[in-house]
Amino acid sequence: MDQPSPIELRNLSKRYSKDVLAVDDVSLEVHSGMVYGLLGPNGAGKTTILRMVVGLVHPTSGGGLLFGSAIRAGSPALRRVGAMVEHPGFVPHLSGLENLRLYWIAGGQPWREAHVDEALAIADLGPAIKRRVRTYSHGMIQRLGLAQVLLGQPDLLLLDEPTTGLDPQEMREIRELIRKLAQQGRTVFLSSHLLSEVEQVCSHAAVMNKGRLVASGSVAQLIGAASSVYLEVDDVDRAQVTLRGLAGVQSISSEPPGLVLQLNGLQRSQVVAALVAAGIGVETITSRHRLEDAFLQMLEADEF
Amino acid sequence: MIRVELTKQTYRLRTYIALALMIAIPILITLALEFGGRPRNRGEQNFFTLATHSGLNVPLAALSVMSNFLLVIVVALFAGGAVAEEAGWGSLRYLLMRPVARGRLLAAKLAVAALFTILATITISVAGLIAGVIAFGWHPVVTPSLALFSQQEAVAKLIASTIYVAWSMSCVLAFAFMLSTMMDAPLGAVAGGVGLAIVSDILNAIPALKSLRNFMPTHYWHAWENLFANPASHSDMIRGALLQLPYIALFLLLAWWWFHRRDIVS
Repeated sequence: MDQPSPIELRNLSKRYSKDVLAVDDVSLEVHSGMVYGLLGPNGAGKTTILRMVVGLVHPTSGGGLLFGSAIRAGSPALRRVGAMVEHPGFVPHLSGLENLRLYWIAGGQPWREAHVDEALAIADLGPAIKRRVRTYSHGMIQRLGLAQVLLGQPDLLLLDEPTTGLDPQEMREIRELIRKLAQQGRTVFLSSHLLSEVEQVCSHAAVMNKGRLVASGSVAQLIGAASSVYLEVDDVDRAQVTLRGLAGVQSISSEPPGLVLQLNGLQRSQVVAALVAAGIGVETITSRHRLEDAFLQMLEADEF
Repeated sequence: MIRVELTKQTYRLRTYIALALMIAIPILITLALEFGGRPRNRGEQNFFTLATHSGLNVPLAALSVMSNFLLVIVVALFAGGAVAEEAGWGSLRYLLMRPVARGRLLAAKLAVAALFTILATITISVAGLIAGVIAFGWHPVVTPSLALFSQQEAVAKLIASTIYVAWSMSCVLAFAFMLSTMMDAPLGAVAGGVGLAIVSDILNAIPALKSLRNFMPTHYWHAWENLFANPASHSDMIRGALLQLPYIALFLLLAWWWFHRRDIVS
């Protein structure tokens, strides 16, 4: 028999008041092993969806399943979930370690069953783990939050804007950690308003706007088959002539001081090789923010 | 779950300060009676004017004066902060993302707030008894109605009085706890608990309200003093104890209902 999907949402809606419809008829399914990103601007309803999945917020209509069990507060299926919704919250007068211990045993599980060493290695707080949480910096709290999420080595991780407020080094570490967890076969469901983050770590994504699901699918599908590159060369005019003769170049547009190419099946290395063979010097060639383009197009389309 | 909640409340400076106050005030009363000059027995007698006759009178005097306000504040603090504080810290969200039924969490928080209410009340009696006996000796008790009780009788009545005072606080506890489930700011819930006692006292002092005053939650708060009358009377104590029940039921039911339907967005 097939294992139930970690998350299955059907026509989920949440209205906070007459004027505030936070989530509007959202249906999606997150399969095992996916790194699924909820992408959208602030106020799109991403956090509300996460809150409903873990039972913090009651849906106004529709519903969903968490590992085959109806989503609700206190659901036994939450034992398989590690979640960080909004900023991590801890009891400030207790130490980081004591906070982890109380969080764990509150779920009715003995402390010896928690994967403390692995979690502490991720938190990387050293002796500060025994200090009161009120003395922690934002980054330390964020890392302690991740350690808390991973205490039970959950099958499903729910992460709400996991890199918010972190410095670039910490952001990179968190993204690497997410990739590593995905490689271990865990399912990750995260929200983000950072397109680059979703593009870097997610296999699948859903684009949200004003509470509605605008598009969903694999990140590759969302971006589209065509990929775009930006390049700078020492002779733009000759480069345009050369590139027009190449199969696999869909379009060329000028974006001074360089050119933007839409490629279809052509590798960047092949573009460089053709230009060099024509005696044109290539100074820069980079991928465009492809998901950003797709995302903005979807939001624009959604406005109409 | 109770162990988790107990740990959170036990290792707090606020808890220590609250309990230290429950020790300090009876000691201050004793010192004031010892060094402030012994009261002359003129006019109406009360536990204060008689306190120097026996150390056993001091805890009664302390209970009498502290149950009106200071104990109310401490109880409201324990109950009002129970849920609202966690909401403010953001840790409530994480507790509720565990496979924990909301009702079970509420029950654990209520049990711990009740435990600290009992502890605070016992602390007043024990601190008063120790300070009083050291200062004024272990003698039979003379009560405001000029009845005389042996030390053993007085201790038994002191225990009954302490239990009654702690139970009398339950309407404040339940009301502050209910507000705590509705707010993210514990101060509002604490103020609400204290406010309930103040409003009830004000209404209780208005003779025009006649028999309605009997339904004010604070109306029978001092009924335990009748234990030390001659003859002793229990009827008001029983009424007072029973009167708490509908208030407790109403406030806790509302707390349970509200907390179950509440969206946790803080």
